[in-house]
Amino acid sequence: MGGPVTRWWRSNALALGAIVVLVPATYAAMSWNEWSSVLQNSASRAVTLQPGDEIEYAGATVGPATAEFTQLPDMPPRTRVVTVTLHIDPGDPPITCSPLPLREVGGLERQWDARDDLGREWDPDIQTFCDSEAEGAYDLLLDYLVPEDVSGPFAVEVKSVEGWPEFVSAVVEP
Amino acid sequence: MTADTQAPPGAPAAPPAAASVSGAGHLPRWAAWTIGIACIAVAWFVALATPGEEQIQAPFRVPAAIGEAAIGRNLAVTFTDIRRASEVSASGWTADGNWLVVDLEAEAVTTEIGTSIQYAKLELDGMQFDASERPPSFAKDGALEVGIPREGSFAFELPDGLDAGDGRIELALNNITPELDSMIVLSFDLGDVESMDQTELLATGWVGP
Amino acid sequence: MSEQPPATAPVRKRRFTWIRAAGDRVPTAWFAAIGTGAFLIATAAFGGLATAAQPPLAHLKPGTTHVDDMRSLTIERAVLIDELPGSGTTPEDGERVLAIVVDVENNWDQPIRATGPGSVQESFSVTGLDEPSSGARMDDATIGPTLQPGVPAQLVYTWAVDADAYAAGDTVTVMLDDMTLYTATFVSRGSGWQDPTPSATMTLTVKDVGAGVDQEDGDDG
Repeated sequence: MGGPVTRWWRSNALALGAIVVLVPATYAAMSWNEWSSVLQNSASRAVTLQPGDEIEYAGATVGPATAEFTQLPDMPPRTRVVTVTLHIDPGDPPITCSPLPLREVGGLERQWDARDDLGREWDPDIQTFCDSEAEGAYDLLLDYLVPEDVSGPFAVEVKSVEGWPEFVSAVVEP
Repeated sequence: MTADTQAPPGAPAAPPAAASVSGAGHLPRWAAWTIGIACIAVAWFVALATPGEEQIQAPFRVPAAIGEAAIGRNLAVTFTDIRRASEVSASGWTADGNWLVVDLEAEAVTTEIGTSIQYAKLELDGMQFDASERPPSFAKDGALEVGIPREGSFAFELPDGLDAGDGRIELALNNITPELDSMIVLSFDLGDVESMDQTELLATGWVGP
Repeated sequence: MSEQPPATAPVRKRRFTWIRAAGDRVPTAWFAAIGTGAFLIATAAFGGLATAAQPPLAHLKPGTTHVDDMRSLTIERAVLIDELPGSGTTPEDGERVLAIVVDVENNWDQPIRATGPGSVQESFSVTGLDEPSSGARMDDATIGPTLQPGVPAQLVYTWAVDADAYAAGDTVTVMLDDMTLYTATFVSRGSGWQDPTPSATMTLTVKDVGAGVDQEDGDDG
């Protein structure tokens, strides 16, 4: 019984070796082929920005970012407001970005949207989105409504089409 | 087996009995047939046990009960009340009929971007009802926030005379493709639901102190 | 052939040789014509190839309910009015609103929309007009409402028409259609009603209410 069996293995060794190498390689090649275009054309790679630092992104200088817990008149009970200030020095052409979410670092990784219905006094100088016609540096002021048991640290994500596949994840600790 | 009979007389020939047991490179015919038929039988059972198209794409149902939180992937709902009425009103709107009203508190769990309860259906007595879009209710303004519950109501308009039966209220985030995501399901018996002449829908808003 | 029992060989020769011999004599080009002729003669057995005449459409009196598996539709009245706020149709200068009030009940076991694809609006049509520009509930002016199974509702479908296109006493012909339930199986899911097939007609007389005493009630529609 040993003879014919080892003979089979030996005579098929080359083919078996090829299978062992080619099957995973085919899988890897197909995966890479499909995923690389998806990942390349979306914000998939995070560049972490520590509090107080600034970074070059999509031709602009992003940072520093700070945050603090505040109170606003229209907020519901048992919640807190996280107000984030993000300094942006736009390049040429001025950086544009999609709405900036606030993400919890660690834990459940929940994310919140900025809001403007919390009763903050209207101020024409407050920017809440990347201004595509800005001439100089400006500060973004973003309000996020979070439950009161959330304490951070948080990350504000700046995603710009020009910066794909990278995006800036600015860590803030209110 | 034919190879055995044609083996050259000088070669060491294993005794036929041993050949059929140990194989000697060839499976006896009865063994091959038995294994083959056994494989077909096993394949038949596997095919029977394989979930059908509906089950493969079914939503993940999270059972809910009045007063208990039901937590799905990105939707957490606590039903607070269920009742029937022959007249419902909400912020100045009012209508008659056989109405079923359910109050709830709902919040998003992981992300609130574009999150709202878009799928709100009642399955009762073999029929399917949509939450009524007529009154101001969660059906019209169901945007949810992460960790911050919002309260509101859904109202379902039922045909006159429908007073009993097992019903299920199903809530999910996505209306077009509710499959493969969480669906909160509240099961109840319509005959047991308390009935009244007139009721008000909860105004949609944050849960008060 | 030589090994076969001799009994079958002569039988085969006798039965089928004449066919071969006859076939050899007919010119090949004729086979197509002979085949076509045989086919046409066969179709005469079940009425021929001409399209069958449509069965005549039933003519309903106004107020009669047209029932099919999808919905029961009763056309109540047709009204010409200067404007109908809350109906979803806003006439421009020189236009007026033609409104048709219907009572509908959903006969299916799932909700049906009043306007849009696969809706009640597709199950009837008015001769000379396109799809209504809007459909709304009469009681609370909900635009584009959904009809729940077994729950009747009164709806009004409206068109913006030229002011002189219709006058009091004009008739409009409404075609009432049967719809077929299709369940999507392969690429899409769910079921819906499609294929409106005319099955009845109704003639309505248009009433002109001028500036409109006949207004919808309900809040800011």
